Amino acid sequence: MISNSSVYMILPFRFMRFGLDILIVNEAGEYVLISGKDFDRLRNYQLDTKEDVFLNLRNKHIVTDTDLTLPVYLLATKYRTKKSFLNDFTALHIFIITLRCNQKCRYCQASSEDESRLEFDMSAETAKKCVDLVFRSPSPTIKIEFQGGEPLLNFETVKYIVGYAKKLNRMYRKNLEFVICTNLLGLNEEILDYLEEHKIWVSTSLDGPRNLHDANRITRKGTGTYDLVMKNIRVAQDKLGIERVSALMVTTRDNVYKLNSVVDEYVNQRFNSIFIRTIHLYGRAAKEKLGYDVGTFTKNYKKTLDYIIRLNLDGVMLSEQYATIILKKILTPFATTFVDLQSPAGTGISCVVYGYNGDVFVSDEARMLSKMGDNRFLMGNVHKNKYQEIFNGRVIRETVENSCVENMPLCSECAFQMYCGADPVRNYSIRGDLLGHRPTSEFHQINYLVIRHLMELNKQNDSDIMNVFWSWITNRSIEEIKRSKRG
Amino acid sequence: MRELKGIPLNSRARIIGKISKNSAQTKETKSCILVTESIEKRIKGFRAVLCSASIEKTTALRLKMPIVHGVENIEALSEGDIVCVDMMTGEIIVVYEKNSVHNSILASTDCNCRCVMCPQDLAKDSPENLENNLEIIRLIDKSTKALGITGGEPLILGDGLIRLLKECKKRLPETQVQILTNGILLKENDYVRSIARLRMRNLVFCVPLYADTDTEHDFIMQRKDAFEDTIQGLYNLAAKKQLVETRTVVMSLNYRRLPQIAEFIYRNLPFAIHVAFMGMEVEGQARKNIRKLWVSPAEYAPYLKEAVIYLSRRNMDVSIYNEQLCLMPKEIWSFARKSISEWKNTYLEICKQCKVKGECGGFFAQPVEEHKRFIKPL
Amino acid sequence: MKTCYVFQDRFHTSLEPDAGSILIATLIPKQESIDLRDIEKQFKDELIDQQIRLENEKLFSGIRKLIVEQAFKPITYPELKAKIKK
Repeated sequence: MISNSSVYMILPFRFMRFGLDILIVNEAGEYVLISGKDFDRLRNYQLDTKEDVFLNLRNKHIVTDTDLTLPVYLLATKYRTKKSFLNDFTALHIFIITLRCNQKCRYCQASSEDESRLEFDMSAETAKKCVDLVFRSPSPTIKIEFQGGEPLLNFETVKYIVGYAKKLNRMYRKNLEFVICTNLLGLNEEILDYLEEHKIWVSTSLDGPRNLHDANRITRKGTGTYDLVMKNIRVAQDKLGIERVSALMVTTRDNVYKLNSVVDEYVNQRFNSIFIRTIHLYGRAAKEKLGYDVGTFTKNYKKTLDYIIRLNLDGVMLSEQYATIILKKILTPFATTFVDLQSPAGTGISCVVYGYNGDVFVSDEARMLSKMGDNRFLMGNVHKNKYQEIFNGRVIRETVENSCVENMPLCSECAFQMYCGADPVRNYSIRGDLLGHRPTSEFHQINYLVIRHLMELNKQNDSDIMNVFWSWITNRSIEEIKRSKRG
Repeated sequence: MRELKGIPLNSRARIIGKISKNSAQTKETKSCILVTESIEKRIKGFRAVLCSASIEKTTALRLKMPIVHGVENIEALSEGDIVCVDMMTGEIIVVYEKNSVHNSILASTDCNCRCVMCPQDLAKDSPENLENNLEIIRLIDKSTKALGITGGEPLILGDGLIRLLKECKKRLPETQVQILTNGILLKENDYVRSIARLRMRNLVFCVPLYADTDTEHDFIMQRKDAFEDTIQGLYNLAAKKQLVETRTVVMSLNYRRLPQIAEFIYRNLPFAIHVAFMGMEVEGQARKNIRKLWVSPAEYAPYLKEAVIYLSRRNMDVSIYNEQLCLMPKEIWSFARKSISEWKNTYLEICKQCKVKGECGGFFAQPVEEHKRFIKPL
Repeated sequence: MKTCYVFQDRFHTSLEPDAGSILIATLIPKQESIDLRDIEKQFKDELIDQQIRLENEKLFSGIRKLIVEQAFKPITYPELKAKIKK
């Protein structure tokens, strides 16, 4: 006889309607799908402690009829693991080496300056002070990323920073990595040799095949850059190795309906990952109105994700990074280190930006705002302020306090809480407050829809699709996944 | 363990020694036991002599050393094996086989649980066990790849286990030592610390997990709070950077939740270096309870497959032990290991025709009737 | 009120008390193209969900606090057990 009511305790969970089911997520971000009927029975204490539904909720620490200690202990441990990106504090240090640029992309956030305007270069003196500050970070891993403008135009300072950082690192012994974000137009033998010698990773921009790439990524004279970029990508890949050269894209009105051909371009250029990123409407982009609405983006994103999955099943190894990051949050117990989608936001505490003149910002968007006259997110300046003032100052504290989804309206009860993050700088730039207005926030809407789509695919549990997802998450081929590790 | 028998003479002690088939005197002789067909010349220096022939009592007495004669199947003993000879009964137990990859030290015959499918007959530990085991470790060949420490529950020995491990570290620094334990006593962090302090490089804790929930697991272990204690133990081990492996025996009580068990392990014990799913060894309690524990391979195969694929996708090292290839879906064959000790390993008549017999692990002794029905050559 | 917040992507919302303890929620679509089918059901569903969440908060907030405390200021298992008993 199955008893109609049992004595059990219900532990914290968040929930959301999901088709005919209810999606339940526990404090550590682990989810269960149960029927609406079972959900009612759960809340009315009508579940039998022996039935499968109860056991499935039990192993996720959502119900228990024995001691509370073990569920609390396990949830706490797993929650701590999910937030472990906080332990190391600032790991990503972005250096704006110069504002000068040989391109003038239509959507540029960096507000590129003419190549002649040397006053916008980061000086060695400023660079030295920045690197000193970098090594004050407690993180055992330090990634220094060179951005701009176009970093190759001030390569002397890049070399200075690499040299000085490596010298300091002989004492600090951190895991030190360098990345250079470049349009590759100015690549030459000497630079390539240097990049190879110092094992510097290259991140370039590729918006699609020629017509799509050149629609927005143009020189100051207005001519296309595709041919030269293609040539230099090949050269860089051949010299440094395919794994060392990656590319990012920006989704604009021009390519949003043609994302599949962007994917094809990435495959042709031998890249093994693509990040279908939305555009942020700051600076030039806002002026040029390059936007598209949320519906358009998500519809095309889903279509192209499907296309990429199919390519993978045909043997092409290409991962989509946006999906991969979210899948890691949903399906693994581990923390992710993508600073743009975390809670509290990565601004300042995980990633920091050093402007060409030594100004320190919580993010590149914050630097953009400063260029437009708003210094809300200026943490300080390396020439004037000490480490404590900058990294423990008012700006960083306010940003952290206002970017914890656990406390933000709508986010605090959202079932996707552990899979999402906050963007306080963006909220501020749109509405003037760091918390933002969730229902009208594009950041929220897009994340919500994409997370939901991926959750839907998880629910379907198609074996082929899951194999592709796990090949992206664990960075192995589908063949390797099916095989035993012991061969 | 393999057992032989003969007629004992000249002693009433328990003698442990390494098998030698060469009567010539070497440095090793004083720790060896000579195996010979018959006793002709004078023999000196060995701990004991085992011979297949029957010998005259007077001849034996003249030798003044422990002798077991009339031993049947003496060819089963190989050079380098280690045996324990009971001179009261003439029983010869092979505690270590040179040519086997599956050697274990029976650290304890007692246990703090009474698992419903336990294949080991349990008994209170006798005080000489520890000293005997230490002597065995001293004799084991340094080139041994792996050595199990089993029981019963080895942790019951407390400091005794620390002494065993110290001896292993000293004598067998390159050998992978696998402790089979329920981990319950590892909830005492001090104990874990004292093991961690030994700084053994190749030590692995193999811990059983039978369910994804406390109620189910505790029932199978027949011990309250077993799940809670084991998890604490596992976390203590992980905190001290000890290597951990989980083992799940497949039976009627848990086969339907194998995928959920896999999920629990991945989510809560992602630090496990290896996950093993095992077919039941039908001895001891398992044999007694076989009616309640038996589930046909056809029934559990899909659950096992799902669990294995789940973990493999997530880049965890998975193995299947004690299962026959003809019972498993082909997709998970690569995960099956030949894991049964050679002396226990048998095949059925019908297996002779099977094309994959070479890769298949075979059975423990004779399988039960229901099991036999499912076996077919491929 | 929370329920109205959820619908503010598509609607302007306002909340006014009527006689006694009844509240009237008014939703005005921001654009003509907004789909009005099912809107009443959606609103009711969201209201129910919010109600459940409110009840849950009362049920859980203590345990949630325990979990976060244990996550960032961990104590040993036996200490945790004793703490929970209290």
